[in-house]
Amino acid sequence: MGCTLNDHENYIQAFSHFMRSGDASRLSEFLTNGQSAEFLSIYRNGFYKACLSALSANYTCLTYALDDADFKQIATAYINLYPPSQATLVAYGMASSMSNTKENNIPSFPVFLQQLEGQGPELALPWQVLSDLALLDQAWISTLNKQNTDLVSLAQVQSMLEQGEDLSLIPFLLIESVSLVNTEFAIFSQWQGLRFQGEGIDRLQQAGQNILFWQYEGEVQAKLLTSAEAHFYQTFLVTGSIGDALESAAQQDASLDISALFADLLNASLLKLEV
Amino acid sequence: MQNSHLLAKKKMDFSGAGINLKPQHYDEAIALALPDTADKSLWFEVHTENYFVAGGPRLAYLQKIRELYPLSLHGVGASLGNSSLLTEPHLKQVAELVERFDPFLVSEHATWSSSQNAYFADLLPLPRTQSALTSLCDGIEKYQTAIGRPILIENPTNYLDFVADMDEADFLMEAVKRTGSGLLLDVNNLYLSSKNTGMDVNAYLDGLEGDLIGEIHIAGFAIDENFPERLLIDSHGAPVADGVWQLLERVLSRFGPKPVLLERDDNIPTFNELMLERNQAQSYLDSMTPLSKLAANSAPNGVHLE
Repeated sequence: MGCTLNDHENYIQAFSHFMRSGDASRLSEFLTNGQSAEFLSIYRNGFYKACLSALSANYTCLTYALDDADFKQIATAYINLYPPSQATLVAYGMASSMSNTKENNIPSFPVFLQQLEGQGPELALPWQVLSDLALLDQAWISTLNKQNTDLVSLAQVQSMLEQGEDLSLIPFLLIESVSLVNTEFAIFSQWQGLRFQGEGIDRLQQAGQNILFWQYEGEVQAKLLTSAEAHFYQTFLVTGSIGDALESAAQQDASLDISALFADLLNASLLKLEV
Repeated sequence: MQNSHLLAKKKMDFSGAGINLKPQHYDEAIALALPDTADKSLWFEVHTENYFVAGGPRLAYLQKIRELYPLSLHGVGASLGNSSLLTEPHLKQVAELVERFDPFLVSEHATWSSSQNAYFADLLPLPRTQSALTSLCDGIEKYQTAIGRPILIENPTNYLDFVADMDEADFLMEAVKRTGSGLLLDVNNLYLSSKNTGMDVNAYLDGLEGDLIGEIHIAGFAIDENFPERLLIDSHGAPVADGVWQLLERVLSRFGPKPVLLERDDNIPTFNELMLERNQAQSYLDSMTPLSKLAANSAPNGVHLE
């Protein structure tokens, strides 16, 4: 038996210090028989391996677009600065959901990539393109793991109309799985090719795009939006008011066909009823 | 929690061999449950935190699996040994999964992984001291209270020896008895601890009470690149080694049939390959005659049956 440890908290703090810094000196008093602390590296290695694996799973296209060594270097920098703060890695690196990164003022992995512009290693792709790819990956996985409730069907709306209801008074909302992404580069089709066909990125055009993601019958759907549509969805997401959203869209494009937009919403099962 | 052992014992009656299920094997696992091929002893375990999602195919698949097979939820992130970060949202999500999927077993680890708002994403060792035991029991109690049922706690893999007031078997048995939980005996972890730190397997098994063991894990390990002569890593990335199979046989002979779970989390092979390995564990369980089961169940502690 070694010395008695009376204060569990001291041990936890010493071990935490090692996990954060790699400095094992404070742990030596807790090891028996003068054991070498070199085996402790197993725990740090396990931590980095798990976090790298999570970032790799959540930002798949980055692993396709970057050399393994570059991805590992960038991801490790993120892990060092922003280790997971919640006891699950399912959403590690993401700006919303359970990782609470917004609340903790921790940048998401895509935002971190933006911040590396001019500071990180020189890479074949611009940092903003990497950030765009990461945003699209993040939206895809976040949408996939959402649960839609209280969907409104076309038949329901037809029934409402037949009963003479004023649709402008119905409290419609966008379904939970909706996610809107704004990119700096026109990268959406290349992201699709990279993610689903294993294609490379061969041309870059710095022209922003707006992409809508949503889940339909367990599968992720995505489409490019026009500027007016983007204003519509952005306003709808922020205000929860379909009236405000339509007004915002109409200001962008006076010729916007509101009936067609509403039909698109219904056909794509993008609406729910506010409960 | 005095009565929780009764509930735990009731839940532990089933003793087939299972596999920890990975998403790439969902479809094959479901297909295997066709009426003419169904194996009533097969079951699956998943890592609880991987299902901390609101919806989507992952939960839908798990629902389908649960309709076809017994299911166990195995937590890896609760940090029971330092449960200050064991938050209400975390426990709420575990409780919701338990409520929804009604697993026949729920388990966690006798380790820690969170401190000062950081999650270290690994199963970190606890010193076997009174204060660590108190902290572990607090964590187990919190967890059990949140989900409304007893859990099993898993013995760790030891790579080094930390200060200790007691042996690991005593430490775990004390935690189990204080909290009304049960033990998940990871035979691979025990094997690796014996190789890495010289832990005495016979003495360890002598210290366990068989009726408090609710599940057994087996897995493969790796030889550490830097210390190949001295260190074996709990990688879950290789087939189960002969020494671990032999230890499994000893444990089953000694303590009687228990649910046995084959873990594989890295270098994941085909579903068929995993099933072949799992079937070997099932054959050990099947080979236990009623007499040997009776002998195992009635063997007093401290008697070696091997």
